[in-house]
Amino acid sequence: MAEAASGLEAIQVSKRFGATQALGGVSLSIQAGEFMALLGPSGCGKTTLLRCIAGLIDPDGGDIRLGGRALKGVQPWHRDIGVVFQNYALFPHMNVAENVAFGLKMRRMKPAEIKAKVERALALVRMESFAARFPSQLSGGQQQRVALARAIAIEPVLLLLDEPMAALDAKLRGAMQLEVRELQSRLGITTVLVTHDQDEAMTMSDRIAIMSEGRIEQVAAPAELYLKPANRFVADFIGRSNQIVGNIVAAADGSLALQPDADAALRLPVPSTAPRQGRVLLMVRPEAIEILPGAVGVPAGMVGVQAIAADRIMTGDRISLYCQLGGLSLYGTLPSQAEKLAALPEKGAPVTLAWRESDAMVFAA
Amino acid sequence: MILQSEIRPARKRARFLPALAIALGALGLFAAHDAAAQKITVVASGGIWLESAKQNFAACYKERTGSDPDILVLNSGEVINRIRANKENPSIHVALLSEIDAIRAGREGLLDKLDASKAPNLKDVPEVFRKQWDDYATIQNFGAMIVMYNKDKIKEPPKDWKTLIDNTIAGKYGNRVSFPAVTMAWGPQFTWFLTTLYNGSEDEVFAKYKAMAPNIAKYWVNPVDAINMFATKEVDILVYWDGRAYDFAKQNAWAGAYIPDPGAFQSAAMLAKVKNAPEASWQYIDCVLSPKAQLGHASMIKYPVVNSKVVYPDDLKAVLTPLEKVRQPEFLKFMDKIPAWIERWNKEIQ
Amino acid sequence: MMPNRFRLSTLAFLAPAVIGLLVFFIGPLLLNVEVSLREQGGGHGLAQYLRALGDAYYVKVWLQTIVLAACVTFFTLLFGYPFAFAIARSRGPVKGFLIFLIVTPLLINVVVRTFGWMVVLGRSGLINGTLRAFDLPTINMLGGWFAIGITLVHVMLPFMVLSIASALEGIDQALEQAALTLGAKPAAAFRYIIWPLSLDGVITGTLLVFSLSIGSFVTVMLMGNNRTMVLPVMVYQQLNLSSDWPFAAALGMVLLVTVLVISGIQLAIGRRLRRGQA
Ligand SMILES: Nc1ncnc2c1ncn2[C@@H]1O[C@H](COP(=O)(O)OP(=O)(O)OP(=O)(O)O)[C@@H](O)[C@H]1O
Ligand SMILES: [Mg+2]
Repeated sequence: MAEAASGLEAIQVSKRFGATQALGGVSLSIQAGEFMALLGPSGCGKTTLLRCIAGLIDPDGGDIRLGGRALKGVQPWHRDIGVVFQNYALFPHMNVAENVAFGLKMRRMKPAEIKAKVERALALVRMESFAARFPSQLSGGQQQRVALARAIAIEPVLLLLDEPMAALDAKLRGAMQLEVRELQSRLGITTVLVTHDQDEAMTMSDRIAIMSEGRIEQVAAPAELYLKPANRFVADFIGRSNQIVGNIVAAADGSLALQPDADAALRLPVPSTAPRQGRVLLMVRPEAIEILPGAVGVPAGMVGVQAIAADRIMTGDRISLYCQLGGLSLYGTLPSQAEKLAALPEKGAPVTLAWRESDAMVFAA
Repeated sequence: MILQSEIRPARKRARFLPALAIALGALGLFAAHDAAAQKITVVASGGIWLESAKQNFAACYKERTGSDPDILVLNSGEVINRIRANKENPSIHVALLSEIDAIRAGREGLLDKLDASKAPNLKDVPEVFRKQWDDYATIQNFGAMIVMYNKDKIKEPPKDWKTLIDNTIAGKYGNRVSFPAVTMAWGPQFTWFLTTLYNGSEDEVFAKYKAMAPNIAKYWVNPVDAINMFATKEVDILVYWDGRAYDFAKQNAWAGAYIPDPGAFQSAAMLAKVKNAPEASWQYIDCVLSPKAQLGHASMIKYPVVNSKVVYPDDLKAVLTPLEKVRQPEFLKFMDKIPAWIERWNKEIQ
Repeated sequence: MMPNRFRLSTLAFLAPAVIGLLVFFIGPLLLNVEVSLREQGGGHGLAQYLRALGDAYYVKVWLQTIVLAACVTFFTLLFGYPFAFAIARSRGPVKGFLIFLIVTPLLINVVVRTFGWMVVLGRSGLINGTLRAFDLPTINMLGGWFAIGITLVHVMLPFMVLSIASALEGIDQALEQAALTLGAKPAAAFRYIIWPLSLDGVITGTLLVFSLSIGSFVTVMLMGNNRTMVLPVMVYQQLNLSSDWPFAAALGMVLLVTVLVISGIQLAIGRRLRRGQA
C-alpha cells in the first residue's frame, strides 16, 4: 500500500527554545522500513525532534533528509509524513470516515477513490463499523486506531508516532503495541516512535535511540542496549540494576577489587575489563544474580559475595530478594515460581550471591 | 507564668472586640435610621447645576434642619416615571421637571399644590411663574433659546429669527447651521415659538424646517453634542440656551451670542413638592426659593431666577436674558399636539 | 408516587430560579404586553400594532433597525475575527495588552466614547483635518449611518472578539498541526478545522452583538440625524416626548420579537454551518 519506504537521516539537528537547548546536534540514521523508537526521559527533546522531522518546527541548524531528499524548506503539507499525535488530535467535528478522508481530500482525490482508501485504512485498523461515529463516541483505543488509520491513509513515506499509547490502560497498550508493530511491518513504512516507556520501545522497535538532554546516547537493537549499554546513562536508564560506587583497590594477590563507599571494609570482585584504578560504578542486573541459600561458596566460573537475606518483594512475575552485606544492599530476582519461592532463604539466613564476571558492568564514576 | 498572664487579657480582648464592633455597628445603624427619617431626596441636573444645588440649596437646607438632602441627577422623564412607580411612598420628594411633565404630574395627582404657609418665600415668586401649572409647580430658574455664531465666519448675524431662517434656506451659511430638533426635549416649545412668528401656522413652521434641512448640519437632540459641534467649529450658527451661550462667548473671542428679534421663548426647570413626601420637603423648597440661594444659583448657572427680591449685580445682569424678552409658551394650547408634531417631524424632515 | 415526589422536589429546587424569572422577566414582559394593547377610550386591541406595522414610515424604521444591526454585526465579525485570532495565538504580556486594548471601549462612558469619534470624524476632525492638510476634498462623516456604524462596531468589538477568542483558545493546536501534516495548506487548515471549530464563538459573538446593537440608542441619537431613525430611538421619543406609552410598548414588543426571531434564524444557520463543514 505504501510507496517505496524511505530512509530518514538526521544530521546535527539542533533547536533552542529561549534558554533551553531542546536539541543539541542530533544525528540519527533510520533505514527504509525500519521501526525506530526515540526513548528518553521527559523533556529530553523527543517530541521536538519528531516535530522537526514533520516540519512543524524549523530546526536552528542541521539537515534532515528523507529518502535522499533534503527536507529543509519543504512545508509540512508537502512532506508526505503521517503523524499520530500524543492525544490523537482527531477532528472533533468530523466523523471517523471524514477524519480518515481528510488527508485524501486535501490531495484532491476523486470521491470514489477516497471512499475506497478510507475503507481500506479503516479495515487495516479494524474500525470499518465505526465510520459514522464521532471521535467523542469512541474509546481511547478506538480513537488511537482512527488516528493511525488517518495517518496511513495518505500512504506516507514515513510514519511518526508521538507516545501513541500513553493514554491507554496497560492491557490495551500491550495489545495495541503488537498490533501497530504488525501493521507497520506489513506495510513496510519507516516509522519513528516517541515514547518514554522502555518496555514499549523494546517490544515494538527494530532499534532504539536513547536520548538525554537533547542528545542521542546510543542507538542499538533492544537486546544490545540491555546487555551492552554504551554508557552509564543508558545502563541506568534501561532496566534495573544494583549500582555500587567505590574505588578500585588492589588486593594482596595483585588482583583488583572494588571498595564500596558504603562500606570501606568490603571488597567486591570486578571484571578484568575494569580500569586499574580510580572511582568506578559497578552495575549488576538483579536477574543476573544467582541466589544460593547458605554460605555455600561461589560456583566455579562465577564471582560473588556472601550476604544475609533480608526482605523479599513480590512484583507479579518476579520476586526480588534483598540481601545485606555490611553497609551494602544488593538484590537479585527470580521468576515467580512456587518451588523457587520455597527454596528462598529466610530472612536473616546466610546467602551466597553469585554472577558471571561478564554480567558485571563497570563505568568510570 | 509571666507569659500566660500576659496572654490571657489579650484573648479576652480578642473576644470582646468583635462584640464591641457589632454593638457600635448596630448603634450606627440606629443613628443612620433616625437620620433617614428626616432625610429627603431631591433632584438636580448634572455638572454645574449639581454643584449649585449643593452649594446653595442643600447648604441652606442643612443650615435649617441640620441634615443633608440626597441629591439625584435625573432627567425629567426619569423623575416622573419614578414618582409614578410608587405614589404612596415616593422615592423622590422634591421634583425637578420639565414644564410639560410638571403639567402632566399635576394632572395625574402626583404633586401637592405649593403652599406659601409652608414655604413663605413663595410669596415673592410672581404668579406668572406658577399660573400655567395651577400652583402644582413653580419655575425655579429659566432660560431662553438664543443664537450663537462664529464671528470669524458670520460678519453680520441676522437681526431676527425669520431672517435667520430665510438666510439658512437660501444657503447663506453653507450647511453650517444647527437648530434644535423637534425631538429635542424642548423642541416642541421651540416649534410653538416659531408658530408665533408665522401667524400660528404649524404647517408653515414645518415647511420652514423642511426647507432648511439641506443647509442644516444637524438638527440637534443632545445639548452637549450641540455645544461640541459649535466649539469644534463644525457649525457657525447654533440655536442654544442663553446662559451657556453667553458664557461661551465670554471665554472665546471668536464666538458671539445674541437674542434675535422679537425675543425668545422661555424654557424653565419646574420645582414641585411630590405628594406623600415628608414635611421637610417644604423646607427645601423654601430654601430653593430664598433670595440668597436664588442669587447664588443665578450667579453660578448664569440663568435668571424667579424670586422678585433678588437683585443681580451688573456683570451678571448683562448675561441674563431680561424677562421682557422671553415669552412663556402656552403649554396648554399645544402640549396635546406634541405626539403628532413628533410623528410629523420624523416622517417629513429627512 | 415516587416519580411524582421526585418531580415535586425538583420543582422546589428550581423554585428560586422560576420565581426570579417570573418577577424580573416574564412579569414585566406581560405588563408591557398589556400596555401595548391599550386603546384610546380604555379598551384593549391591536390598534398600536396596526399603527406600527401599517405605516410605511414605521416599517422603514423597523427595516433600518435590522439592517443597521446586521451590518454592525457583519463588520464586527470581519474585524473581530483576526483580532481574536491574534489574542488566541499570543502569550504573556502581549496577550494581556491586546485584551486590554480590545476592552478599552467598554471602560469608557458611552457619551465620552461617542464624542471621541465625533472628534475623529468631524469636519475639523482627525480624518478630515488630514485630508485638508493634503488639499484633498473633505467628507462629512458626522451624523449619519457611517458614523453610527463605526462607533457601534468599535464598542461591539470586545463582545465579538472575546467570544471568538475563547472559542479559538479551546481548539487544541495539535488539530491544526495534524491538518498540516495531512496535506492541508494553512488556508485549508483554517477553513476546514479552525473556522468550524470556532463557530460556537462566532455564533455567540454575533448573537450578542446583534442583540446589543439592535437595541443601542444613545450612539444612534448622538451620531445620527433625522434620517437615521431606529426603533429604540423611536421608543425613547414615544416615552419621553410624546408620553405615548401604549405605542412605545408596542414598538418595544416589535423590537423584542424581531430580536428573538432573528436570533433563532442565526442559531439555525450556525447549526447548519457547523453540520455542513463537517
Ligand atoms: N514551544 C516550546 N517553547 C519553549 N520550550 C519548549 C517548547 N517545546 C519544547 N520546549 C522545551 O524543550 C525541551 C524538550 O521538549 P520536548 O517536548 O521535545 O520533550 P519530550 O522529550 O517530548 O518530553 P515528554 O516526554 O515530556 O513529552 C523541554 O525542556 C521543553 O520544555
Ligand atoms: Mg513529548
